[in-house]
Amino acid sequence: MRNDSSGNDPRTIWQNQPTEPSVMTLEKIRRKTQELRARTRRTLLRGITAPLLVAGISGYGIASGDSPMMRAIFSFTIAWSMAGQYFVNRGMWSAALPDDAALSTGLESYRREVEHRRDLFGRFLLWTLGPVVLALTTFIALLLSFGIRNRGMPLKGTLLNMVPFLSLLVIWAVGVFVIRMRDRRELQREINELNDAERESAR
Amino acid sequence: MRGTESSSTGAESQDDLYRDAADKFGSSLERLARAYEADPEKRRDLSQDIHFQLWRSFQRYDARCSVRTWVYRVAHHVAASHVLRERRTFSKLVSLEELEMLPGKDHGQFADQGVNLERLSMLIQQLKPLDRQVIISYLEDIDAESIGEITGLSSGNVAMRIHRIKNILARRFHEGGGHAK
Repeated sequence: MRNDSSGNDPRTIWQNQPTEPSVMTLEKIRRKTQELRARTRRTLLRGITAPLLVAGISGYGIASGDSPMMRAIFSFTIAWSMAGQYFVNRGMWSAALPDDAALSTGLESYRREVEHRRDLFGRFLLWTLGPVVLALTTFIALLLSFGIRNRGMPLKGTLLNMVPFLSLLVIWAVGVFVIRMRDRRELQREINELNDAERESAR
Repeated sequence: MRGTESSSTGAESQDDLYRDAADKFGSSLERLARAYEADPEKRRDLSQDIHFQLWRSFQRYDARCSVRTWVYRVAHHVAASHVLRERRTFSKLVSLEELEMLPGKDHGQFADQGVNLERLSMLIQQLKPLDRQVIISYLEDIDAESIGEITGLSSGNVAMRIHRIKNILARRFHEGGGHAK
């Protein structure tokens, strides 16, 4: 510890701050494990929203459409979205630290976390947003084909009422895509910086 | 070393190792949590997460590195993951290099300790996690070699970052650059 009587010495300020160290008791560990499981359950439940949306749109599309090709696309979208639940959420239940976290240096473990985050965003785009976009596009195509074939007549009913909802969905999908892509770019930039730091350190 | 004891005493050893580490580094871990999370509620959660993961990690402790390095590596790992999870706009975090360029307010030589601590915490919380690891270690009086061991940066790289840290702190806290190690 450094003996500096100056009240402005950052290390003195830092080390003399009041703290209330907490120690893990068995009771706290048990509670923490439950909390982690509850948090994972909440995240999984939130993740079900997109597949439900896809199932709703595609189910309606299958019931309303008469083209076998469109029905096949809607069925594929449902299957894609369901499979996506596995790929997006795998490994969610293990709240543990990676086995070698303490043996890896700060740089290595931090880069692994950033890469994990970047891959998670990629998986979200492919397995969650992808089916939503396909379901939406096919549904809009279905609406347009109805309109063209029947000179706009069916659009006056329920389908026309869906236009604001579908427009909102399209805006949401575009917004999510743009934000996630920007975040991925930021994370990739961070990985590049960490790689540079590692290269410099290896010299 | 207790970490290499037989598996029959593994659980006991894990608890002992954890208890010793918590006794020795408990205050440092609280300060570390403060450097990563400004919100007191979330900070308490983060602190508990660090202790929880530290307890779990000691199951695998094999004395390949010192207990201090082990503790800091685990703590920084948990805290950096927390930053990545919580941070909505990752791009707002800056590197030491960028922070050195930013103009900092000088609050005078005799500002209140609490105010100074708040300013110091805010300054650290602006930094990207790797630079945060270096500045926290520096503030904890950890030597450059050990900082290199914790972070994985070379001694030259650590020295360069510490030099920047000293400049930033000197400008903002009236600390002479030559004071620090």
